[in-house]
Amino acid sequence: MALCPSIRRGKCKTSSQEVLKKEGVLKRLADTVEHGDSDGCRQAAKDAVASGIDAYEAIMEGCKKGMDIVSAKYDRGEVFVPEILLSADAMYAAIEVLKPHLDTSKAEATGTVVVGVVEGDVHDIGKNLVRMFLEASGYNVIDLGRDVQLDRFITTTKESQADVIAASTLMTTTLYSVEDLMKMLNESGLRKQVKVIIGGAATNAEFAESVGADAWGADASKGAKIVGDLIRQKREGK
Amino acid sequence: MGIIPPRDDKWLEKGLGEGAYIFTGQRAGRVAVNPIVIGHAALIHNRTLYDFYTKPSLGVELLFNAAHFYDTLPMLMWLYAVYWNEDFGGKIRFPTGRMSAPAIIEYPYKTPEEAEKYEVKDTQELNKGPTMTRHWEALEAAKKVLGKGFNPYQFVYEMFVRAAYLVSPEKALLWTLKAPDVMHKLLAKIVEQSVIQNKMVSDRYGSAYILTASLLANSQTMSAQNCREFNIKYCKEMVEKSIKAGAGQGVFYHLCGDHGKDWPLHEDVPTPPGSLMHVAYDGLKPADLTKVAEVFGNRCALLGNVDTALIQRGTPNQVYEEAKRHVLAYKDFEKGFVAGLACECPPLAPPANVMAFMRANKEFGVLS
Repeated sequence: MALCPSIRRGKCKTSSQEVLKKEGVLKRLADTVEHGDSDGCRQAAKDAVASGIDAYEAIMEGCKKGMDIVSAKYDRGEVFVPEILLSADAMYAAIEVLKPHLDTSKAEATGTVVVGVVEGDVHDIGKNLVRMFLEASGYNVIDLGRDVQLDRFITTTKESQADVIAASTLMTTTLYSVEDLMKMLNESGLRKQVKVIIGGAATNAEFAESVGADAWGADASKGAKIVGDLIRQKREGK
Repeated sequence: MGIIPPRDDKWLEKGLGEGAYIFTGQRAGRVAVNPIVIGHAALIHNRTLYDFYTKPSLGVELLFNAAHFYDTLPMLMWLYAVYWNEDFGGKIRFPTGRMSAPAIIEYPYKTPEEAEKYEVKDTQELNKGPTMTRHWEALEAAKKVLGKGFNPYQFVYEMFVRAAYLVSPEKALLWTLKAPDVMHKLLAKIVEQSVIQNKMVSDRYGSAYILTASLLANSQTMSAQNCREFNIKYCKEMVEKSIKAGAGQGVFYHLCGDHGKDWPLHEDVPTPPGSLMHVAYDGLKPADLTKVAEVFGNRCALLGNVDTALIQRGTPNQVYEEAKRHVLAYKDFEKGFVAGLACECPPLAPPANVMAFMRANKEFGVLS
């Protein structure tokens, strides 16, 4: 176990016992998220608050780590959508406890993402999974829902100064809505200010490139990771 | 109506003859083609999808005319994916604007406790419901336009997705882990319900062609084992019981989406004469039907799976080449091959692409 170097030098105000306790609570948060144990996760979150652990740290070093493990398992084909939903259920149980104690400025600093299923399509499981992964990563997520009128993507992005739009569609028919969204972003002049990732079963990398999106997410887990990359690129002015 | 021309009996007879091998197993002159035209039929007539789905008789006439126009198999099946939700207290919305098909806007059950209260409806109750009201109208219209070629059908769909249409897809998936007993009870009732629904059509017309599917339970959402546990085994049971109840003059197994890992688990589903096996994708690409034929090729005809995205966004030349590749590779399957798309023909597919698809199949689908 890695202890704070300051403890060894005797300068750290946090005692080794407190550090151990903190690491234990964070590990419990991660474990209970990974195993989809909502009750255990809620209790771990309460313990985190009681121990004075920063709520943001509890989410990022506890819940997110658990979601990362599930995400990696999903990528390897070891778990499927029900397991992700179960883990997300546990994560939200913890977030419900932690949210009142959260310093929201930290989340905003990591980036804002507008997510939604494009107009004409109501299939939103994939979009919801993306939202869960993004929230677990501490991003400020504005979920527009499903069958979203395209101008809502534009107005919401303007108002929130979002870094990324994550738009999805499951249906081949509504690929046209994605194309139209890209046109509207260009025409509004907003395209230069926002990165765009698209996803959903009807899409692929070629389609994303053909409509001028910045990226394509093969699935929710990969998509959420790419959003992080896009935000970093944007912050670096790329 | 104005835009619907009178029935061409000569064409109809030819078309029915071409499709007969699905039922008889005897080779025909050329491969039949069924690109699963549904809403597309409305748009090529400059009608709205809303009209198509809210006026079943009109919808059937549009389907018939589209089949004639493209020279596809006259297997008219007016339906929409979200059957049965309304009958149990849900709400659907018919397509307007960019929507391409009816969609659920409200699920009847929100909790496992509510879902446990699901009660199987009897024939009388179902007859009063919105789904059967529309379905009967469509069947009567199809009977009128197809005459002796009428093939009564019932759309019982995927057992698991029907549960999802009652509780929402996310909850259905989550409850496979969180409340599996509730899901199993619900699925058992849905099987019972589906048998009644198949029997209703069979009682009226002799026998019902069963349209079933694997859709939400697929290789992207669930493990193959859970696809079997929460859908395939119920699908099999439903078809077996429906056949005993007088339905099943053929079964259409529509494995929609990615079934790369779970399609082989359908190996023991019943395939009475007239059955069609349709495996859409393996990952992101259309499944290799030569592999599917190793399991099903000597039992029933296979429906083709040219990528629907290509039909919508490709050029006519690309579509032609892909359709040619498919038909040359698959046309000699033992129990037949019906050229088709991986799913419903997208409503907005350019007619030139559908025509290119037809042309390739006509030119290269000749059977020796």
